[in-house]
Amino acid sequence: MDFTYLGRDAFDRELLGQIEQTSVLLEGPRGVGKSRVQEHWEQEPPKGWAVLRFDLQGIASAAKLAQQMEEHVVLRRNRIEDWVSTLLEGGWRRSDPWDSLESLLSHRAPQRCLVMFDEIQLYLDGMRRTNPEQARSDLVRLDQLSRHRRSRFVLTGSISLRPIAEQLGYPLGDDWVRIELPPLDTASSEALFQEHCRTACSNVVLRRAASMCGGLPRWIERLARKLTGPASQERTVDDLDRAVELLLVETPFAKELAHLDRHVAAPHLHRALQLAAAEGSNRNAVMAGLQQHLSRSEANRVLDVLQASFLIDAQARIRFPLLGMALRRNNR
Amino acid sequence: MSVDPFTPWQEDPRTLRSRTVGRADALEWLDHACKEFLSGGRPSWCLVAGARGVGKSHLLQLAWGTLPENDRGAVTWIGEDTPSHPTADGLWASIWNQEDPWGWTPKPEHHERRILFVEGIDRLSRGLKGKQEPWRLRHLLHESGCLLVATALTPAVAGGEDSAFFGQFDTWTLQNLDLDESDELFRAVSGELVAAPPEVLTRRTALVRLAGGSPRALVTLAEAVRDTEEGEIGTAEGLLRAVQHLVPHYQQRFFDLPALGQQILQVLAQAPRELHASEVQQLTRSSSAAVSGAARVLEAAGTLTRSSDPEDGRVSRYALSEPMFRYWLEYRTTQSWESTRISWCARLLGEVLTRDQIALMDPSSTTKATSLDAGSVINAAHLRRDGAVLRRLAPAVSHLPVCSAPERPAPDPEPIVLAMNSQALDSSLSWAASLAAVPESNFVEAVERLSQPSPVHVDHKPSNIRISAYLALGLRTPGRLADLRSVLPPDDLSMQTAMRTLRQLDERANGPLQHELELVWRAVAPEESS
Repeated sequence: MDFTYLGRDAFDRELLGQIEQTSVLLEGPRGVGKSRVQEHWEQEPPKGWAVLRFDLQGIASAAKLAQQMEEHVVLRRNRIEDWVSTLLEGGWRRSDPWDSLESLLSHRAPQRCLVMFDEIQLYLDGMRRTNPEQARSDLVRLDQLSRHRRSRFVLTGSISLRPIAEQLGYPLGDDWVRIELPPLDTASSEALFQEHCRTACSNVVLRRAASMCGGLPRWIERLARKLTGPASQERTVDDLDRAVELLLVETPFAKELAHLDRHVAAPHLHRALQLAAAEGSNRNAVMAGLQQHLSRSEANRVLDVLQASFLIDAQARIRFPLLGMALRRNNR
Repeated sequence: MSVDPFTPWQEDPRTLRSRTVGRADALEWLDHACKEFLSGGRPSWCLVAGARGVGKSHLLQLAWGTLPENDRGAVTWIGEDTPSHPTADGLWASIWNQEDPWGWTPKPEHHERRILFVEGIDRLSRGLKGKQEPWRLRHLLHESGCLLVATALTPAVAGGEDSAFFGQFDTWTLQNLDLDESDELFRAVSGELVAAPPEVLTRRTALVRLAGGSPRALVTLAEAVRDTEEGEIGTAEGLLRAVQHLVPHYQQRFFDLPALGQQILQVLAQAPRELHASEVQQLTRSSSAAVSGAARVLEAAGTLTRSSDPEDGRVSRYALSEPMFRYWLEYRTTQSWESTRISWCARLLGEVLTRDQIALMDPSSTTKATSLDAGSVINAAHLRRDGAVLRRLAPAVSHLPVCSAPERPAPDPEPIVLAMNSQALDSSLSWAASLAAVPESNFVEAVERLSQPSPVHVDHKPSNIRISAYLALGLRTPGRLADLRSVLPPDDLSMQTAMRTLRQLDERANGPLQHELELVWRAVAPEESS
């Protein structure tokens, strides 16, 4: 059994049903398993689909994007002898990767093609700040390509694409359907935790661990690895608490919040998170706290950004309990 | 005054609405919360926060006025002057079961649904003694099932983690008005038209900037100049009345601030320009962290604006949000008001009137200004003379970088005006111009005073003072400077700098400094310049 892809069967079916109709914006918090869905589909393409996947994590310029896309295509050709290898006959032009992709989809793809981009939202958001024209141009080309009759696109990202598109002056149409990848349910979370823990855990420990990790596979895995001790002994709640402390010290969520630092309202975003993490906090509390330095409309926009980053819910509650614990530690 | 911005509850909501600008969204939000509650919804408590004079009571009065008269439920007003109480139960009894033993006010009818308008919930909450009392008050309010619509100076009462009301209020913080909204409000009160004569437009622009977006200051200033029939002198009288009328407003705002915040405001009010954070630290003798923290409080209270230095984005510049505050502070704190009031008034007029208006003031005409001081006479020539030092700065461009606060009355009846220029000229030249305008008998005293450490002298350096003094001497009596030069050692750098600067000034007499020089010469020798 592939435990790294546990609990996603129903979602797979839903997503497959959707891409028969439209391209998809697959969004969700960091660590929920969006990239894993793409990797899974790249390794085991759905029947009737050829899959091409581009990972844009850490890409911050148009030149890097072009290089990354070319390298991936070449790598793919070398690794799997399939229809992509025919591409090199026509040549992949680094100067215009979108044109090359379009050419590929129009003339060479033997069947319907599923093109997947991972974290293109972060790429466009970063590009928007440094070169908005380039960001807009990339988005327009991407949108145009997604309407190609032989292709569907799946874009995954940990921030929402629609607000970015609106800021770029190119609102996305209804032919993009947004699907949020849900966290794992309790049973899957417990099973995954138990699998990675490798020693016996009491039911209480499993339930508590699943609850703290909020159904995010990445954090379930990390927490389970911190839960060490004699193999013969069942793990207790105290062991789990120690593991949580260790995890929060070693991994203070810097990566999860890094993209907020690039935002023009970064201090207010962090302040809002601190307020949201406080005991008994709610939307009213966060709004009131923010309005000590911002107007009401500005405070609302700050919450919108955090919501679009999947860090808080509509009631301005921290979506991920471990993050809340980490923020409260910082508060102290 | 026909409009009193301190007591909006005295006015009919329809009258209030006619001078409501920039609050449509907030009013709609409040209106929606009240109507939702009256139609059977759950009470969603509302908090209107904002600095004094920003329009909180005004908004509550409007919200009350928009409720349907036949279905308002029971409304209880807890005004700003309600005495605070040390216990929650005691306070609750005075709020909920308001009894008037003298029968002055009708007893509120008992409806099922009651809206409680509470002004200053932060003050009432602070008045409770004991940690549990605010929680008890919150409990009593919840138990009553009423809709609480409250005001507070800051949203901290609802957003502070240690507050009993943390997360209990949907909060709307009112901001000061922007320039367009300020202009609209000013016109609504003063009755001026959008298209007005140039001198009226100049005056309006200047007054709007002086108010810094505070609705209360705007209304007061607009009232002050409404129907001023006596031209500039009428304006002068009106402005003084406006400042007098705003005394409690600024006084309360000042006393609401922490000690360091008060010091920072005082330093900013005295400074001739915006100050860098490091300068504020130096002048208040406080640490960087303390100043930064206090500045955040002042910013939240709407009394200070912080901007990035265009030349170095890492550096913050501080300025007063409401330039009028500067005049209030001087009016309230100067120890020799008798000797400074004319120059004070002249500078205030210099902000509001155009250069031409000041220049055209008839020196022979005198007007008795009873509001300035019983029996005193403002001579237009006084205004002209004091204004002349200031005319080099265009009115309405920025608040005037002029400081005038002699520590003791000067023996000469003429006030010492230390006109310090902005960053356009270096401080030495600016001080020289000021010193050149000082009467001969006060010259040495003025130089000594300038040499003493004071928050006013921002770029205070002994060598700069000497250069300024030499420059001033050279400007007013070149012969004396030549005498001095023969006595001083040839390596006196201050003298060399002064001479070099004088030569440069002379060369640039036809350039951008021409007007500056003209003013200095006119101040020194008005007969010659004329």
